[in-house]
Amino acid sequence: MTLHTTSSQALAVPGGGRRGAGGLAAFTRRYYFAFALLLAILLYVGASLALGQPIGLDKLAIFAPLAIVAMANTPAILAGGGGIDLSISPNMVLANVLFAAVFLPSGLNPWLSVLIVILISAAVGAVNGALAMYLRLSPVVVTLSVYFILIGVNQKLAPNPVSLSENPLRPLAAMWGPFPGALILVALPLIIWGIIVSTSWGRTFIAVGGNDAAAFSAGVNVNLVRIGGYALGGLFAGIAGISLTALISSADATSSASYTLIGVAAVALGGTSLLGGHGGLLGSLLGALCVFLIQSLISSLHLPSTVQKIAYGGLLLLSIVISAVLSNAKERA
Amino acid sequence: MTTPETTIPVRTGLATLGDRLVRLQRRYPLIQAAVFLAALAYGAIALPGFLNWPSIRSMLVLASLVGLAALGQTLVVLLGGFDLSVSGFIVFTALILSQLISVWDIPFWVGMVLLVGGSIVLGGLSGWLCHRYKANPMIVTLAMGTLAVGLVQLQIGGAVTGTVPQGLKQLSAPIATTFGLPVPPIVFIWLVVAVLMWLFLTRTVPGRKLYATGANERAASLALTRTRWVWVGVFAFSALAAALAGVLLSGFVGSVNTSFGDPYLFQSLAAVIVGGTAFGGPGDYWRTVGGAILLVVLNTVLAGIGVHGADQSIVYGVIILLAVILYGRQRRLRDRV
Repeated sequence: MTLHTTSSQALAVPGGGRRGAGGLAAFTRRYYFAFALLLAILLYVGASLALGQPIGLDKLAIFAPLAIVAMANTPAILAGGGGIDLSISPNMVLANVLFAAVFLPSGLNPWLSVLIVILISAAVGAVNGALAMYLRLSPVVVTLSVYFILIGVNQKLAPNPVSLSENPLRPLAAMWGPFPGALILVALPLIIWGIIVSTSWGRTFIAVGGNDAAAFSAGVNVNLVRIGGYALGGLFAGIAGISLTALISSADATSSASYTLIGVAAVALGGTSLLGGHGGLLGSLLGALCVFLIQSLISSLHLPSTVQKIAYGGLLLLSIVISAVLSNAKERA
Repeated sequence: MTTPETTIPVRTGLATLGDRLVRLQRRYPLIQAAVFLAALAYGAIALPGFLNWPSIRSMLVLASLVGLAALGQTLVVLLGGFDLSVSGFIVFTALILSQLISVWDIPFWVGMVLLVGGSIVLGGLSGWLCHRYKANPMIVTLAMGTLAVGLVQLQIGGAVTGTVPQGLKQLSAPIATTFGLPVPPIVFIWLVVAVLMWLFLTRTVPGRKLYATGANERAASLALTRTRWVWVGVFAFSALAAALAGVLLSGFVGSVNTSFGDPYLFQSLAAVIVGGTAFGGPGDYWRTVGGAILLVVLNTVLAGIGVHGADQSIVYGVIILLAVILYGRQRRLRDRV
């Protein structure tokens, strides 16, 4: 049924544009995160029932690193041109290791260190973008190389896991009355993103992702916009590193790669097109929430952890098919 | 190849030489060969025993493992995609051979049939999904690899502590011999596979259609190539190749776990890229063979001079980056407007 609706939409609106007012394609174009939202609500209810009580805000601190990593993955993908930053996860751990194993032992003011660490992560993201854009290299290859390099750097900075006896970031993972401290960290990327999207630079960002050649012809500095996307992703990766440090109170270089693939998966689940130009941070946040709730559901049902793999894989494939059908994707070639 | 010379009439001697080198690099992996010879020469001088037969033999075994893991990856890259399910299908195979056949109490050959059939079906499904729904191959193959491992793990109940049948270990043991020759069977297998792949890509219709689809899918489909079946076939083959590489790998490693395939995912990708095959072509499997040998020699030299773990990872990243900077660059945006 949906197939029929979308194909008639394609005939009516060849540009796949917004004129099909009220149509399913137009709806899913505007509310690209609808699928993730629906799934998240279902999973939330399911997980809460399985647990016997509603999942509370106190779990937010555990969810925060994944949530922020998923958001960090989004800008580079949104800016199109095959953009993706595979080095987000090691970049996050770089922030974690720099803070807990380098700056804090050196006696630097913790909040100044947080700022420096986040800026370093943003700089790593900008380098990724600059390499991919100015040297005209495939983003996957560039960020994969940087991924290897960062994993090595992290291991050198913290050859053994460092445990913090006194963690100044602890409040960011604790509850302040009814409010979780992690709320600040999760909200920060959303606020920054909200401000950017409302500026003209934010508009060019979407334009570049949608059709780079057209944006270029309209006088947009495509390279600079895309590098900005990678830098923004790096900045968010730094924030994710801070939330990780607040949660685990240690620095562990061996976890460098652990958020790589699940972070990209959350973006796809959130309805952001991996071709760019369509999607946003809210979807990635919801996608990450789905992943997190699947984990909660499976652990509270006492199912073997292998079910988790099947659930991830299956859901990811399902979300690809559903978002493709809903967003009225034309077939290849 | 000849037209640029007519459009650029006046050039100084140096510029023509540079042009010629760039053009030669496009056809032959010159830089890779130079780096290979340099690494070999350095190893021969700095490391005693580097060019002994046992050392060369074990490097060849390592290179053939990487090269065979990169077999399907080469074809997927020629189509313009990635296959992140390589590690998944390696583990899929290892789990079937080391555990499922004992859990289900089935003979070895049934296990082989199961893994061949399973990988072809799941891989083909990846290709179909990528093509039909214009989905990103990276995400689809990632999901499929996870799914494949999950499906087997569900049957064996999660615990992963298996050992591999003894006969498999003989295939990739460096001291093993083939028909009385002092060369391990896996190296022979690799050579035969490389020749077959070369014949397939250059001498058969499906091979040419693969190149055509990678170069320009629209043009290929207008020329009556059924590009969807090319995608399905290539991804099915890639999964199968990864699964079969997993047979040899689990023999080499001996005991298996769920992450033992991971290094081979990135090494297979690195071998293809360092070898000089570009996304959507041009390229071929010989380049991947060269890339795999180059990476293994570099790794051995680095390990020999005391570069381990963290530094090795950094050097790895820098090498891939340098390789693509030298010859993997894309078109300017202003040339595409």
